Amino acid sequence: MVRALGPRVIFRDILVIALRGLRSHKLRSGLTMLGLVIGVAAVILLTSLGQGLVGAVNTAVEPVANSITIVPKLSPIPGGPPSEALTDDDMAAITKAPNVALVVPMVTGSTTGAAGQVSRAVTASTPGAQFKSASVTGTTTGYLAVQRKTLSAGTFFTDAQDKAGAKVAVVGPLIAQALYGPDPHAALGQTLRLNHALFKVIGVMDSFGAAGDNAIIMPIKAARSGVFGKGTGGNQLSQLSVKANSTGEVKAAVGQITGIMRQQHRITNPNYDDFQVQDLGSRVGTFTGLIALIANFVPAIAAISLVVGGIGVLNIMLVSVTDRTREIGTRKAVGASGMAIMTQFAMEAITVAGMGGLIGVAISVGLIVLAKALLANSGGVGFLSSFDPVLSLTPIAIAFGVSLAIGLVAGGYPAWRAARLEPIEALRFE
Amino acid sequence: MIRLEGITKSFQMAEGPMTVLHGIDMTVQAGEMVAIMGPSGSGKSTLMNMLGCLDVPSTGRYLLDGTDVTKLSKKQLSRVRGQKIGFVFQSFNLIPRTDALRNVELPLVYNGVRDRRSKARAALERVGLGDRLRHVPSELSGGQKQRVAIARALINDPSIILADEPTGALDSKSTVEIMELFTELNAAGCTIVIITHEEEVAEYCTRRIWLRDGRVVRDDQAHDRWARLNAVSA
Repeated sequence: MVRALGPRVIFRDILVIALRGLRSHKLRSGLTMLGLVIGVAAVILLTSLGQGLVGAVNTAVEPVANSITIVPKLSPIPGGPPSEALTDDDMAAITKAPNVALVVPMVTGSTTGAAGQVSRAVTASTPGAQFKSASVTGTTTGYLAVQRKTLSAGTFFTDAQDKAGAKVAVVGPLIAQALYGPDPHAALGQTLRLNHALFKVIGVMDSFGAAGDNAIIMPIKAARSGVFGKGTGGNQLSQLSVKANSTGEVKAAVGQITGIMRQQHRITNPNYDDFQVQDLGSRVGTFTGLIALIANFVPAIAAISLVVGGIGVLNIMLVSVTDRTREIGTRKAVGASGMAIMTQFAMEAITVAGMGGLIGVAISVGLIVLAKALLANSGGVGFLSSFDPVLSLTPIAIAFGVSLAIGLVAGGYPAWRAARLEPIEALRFE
Repeated sequence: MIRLEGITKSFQMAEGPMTVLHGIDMTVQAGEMVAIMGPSGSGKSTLMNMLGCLDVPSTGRYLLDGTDVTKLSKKQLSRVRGQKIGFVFQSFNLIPRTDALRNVELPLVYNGVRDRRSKARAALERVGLGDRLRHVPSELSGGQKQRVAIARALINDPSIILADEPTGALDSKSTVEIMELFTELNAAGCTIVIITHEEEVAEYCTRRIWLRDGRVVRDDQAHDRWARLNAVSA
């Protein structure tokens, strides 16, 4: 009787036949591959450049965008529940929010009105001079980071000084100039009188614009006890400055903070919110979102070239089947099953697509690595300094996977047609 | 051994069914060398396709080595072709750009046979092409191409070699060579069925069957013919 055989026995031989078929049509195979090479390389390159662009924009925008401010406000609804102040407890709760990286409190002695906050002016004086409208802020060591301020002389207070409520102060440039003269270093170590308490000046801030230049910064305990008095409960805060883990997490952080605050203040109706959470991120987000959209959209356009390349494979495989109809008939006459013929043509298409994909990956990865090296060596000026094409596995895997899938689909249909040919029809084909 | 019982074949044409074979009964014993002759349109190509399991009859039974192949699936038919039948075509039908060895190996590939190279070389040597193993079809003459095709038909040690006008594309010198090769193979035990309309080809065969309008009209057993040939020469 007729021997049956497992499909695996001859699979390797059919693969060899398929490869030989490709090799005997080198130009045709090469040109077919070219479409996929370009498609795959374009998708990977443009994704990489796009991600690099988004990264550069985020690096530039990050310090501005990642800034959340929480201030108390009066309920705008007449007859609503009384507003509660912002307290140390609120701060402790917000610190635990998963997307929050840093929380910095500020006590300015301000009073809360419906229109916002009015800072209390404090008179700063030395034995020889006076500055009448200083604005005192009690805060923690994270202040410089969240406010993006820098010192022109001296140091900021330490964690230990913060905890102890040391009577030390960092002053704005206007105050330093008015009280100690134009050289900021002259202010260091000097004594400063605020109302009735004495402080030692340990640092002077760089100018940041009129509003911030009359500030006096000190540990929160020192401000509460030395300048403003304990106040109601002694645990009230004027403002919280928060940084999220990253710019992308600002939205989530804002959501979490709002939820925590409502819980802390037992607010069920958002209309009665007695606080306000503001973030610059949502404004900057429109811009970064647009850049991200472009970065995602460009590879999508490149993907079209991948599809075009796939149609090229389909076209060539269909021509190849028609071209070799007699060959298919001969193979069937000498014992090839439909499955064997189908495997042969499918393997040809997948090999073309796979090799095209691999070459595309190699070219694009090479170009990306080259671009990274060039950018790193050039040192980079301005915007280019933070531009770095991203080499990540996901777009490579997707582009290569898609090219293989295209090979499977574009090869599968012609292969199926070839397998279905009746041997006598195929042998008779001219 | 081949046995056909009441084989008919009809094709569905635009103007209605057309019957090409009207009940063929025929037996080919192992070791015979049969010529199937007839004018064009007599149904000999259709009969050839039936014998080669390339097509199935509309009615009737076809026993090949005791198996009724009309009941087999397409996949089983392809296995039967690969293991029991060797084809030789008028236009050679070698795979282009593929050397003689690989062409001859082909049936072994689809049969999952190992050690193909030495078998293919032996088959090519048997048809006298031991020095042309690595030549591709475009480098071979018509007669050489047909020898490669015959080596390919031989390689699976088939029950029957079917040759469809094997000398139709050859000059008279090559024709003689090919027919002498067939005769040698037949003498060595191969069963051969040749479809031809050429008398000089049929002369080499031990038996001749004439078809006309889809029916067997004459079946010359060898001894009749040899007796007659002897009488003529005497």
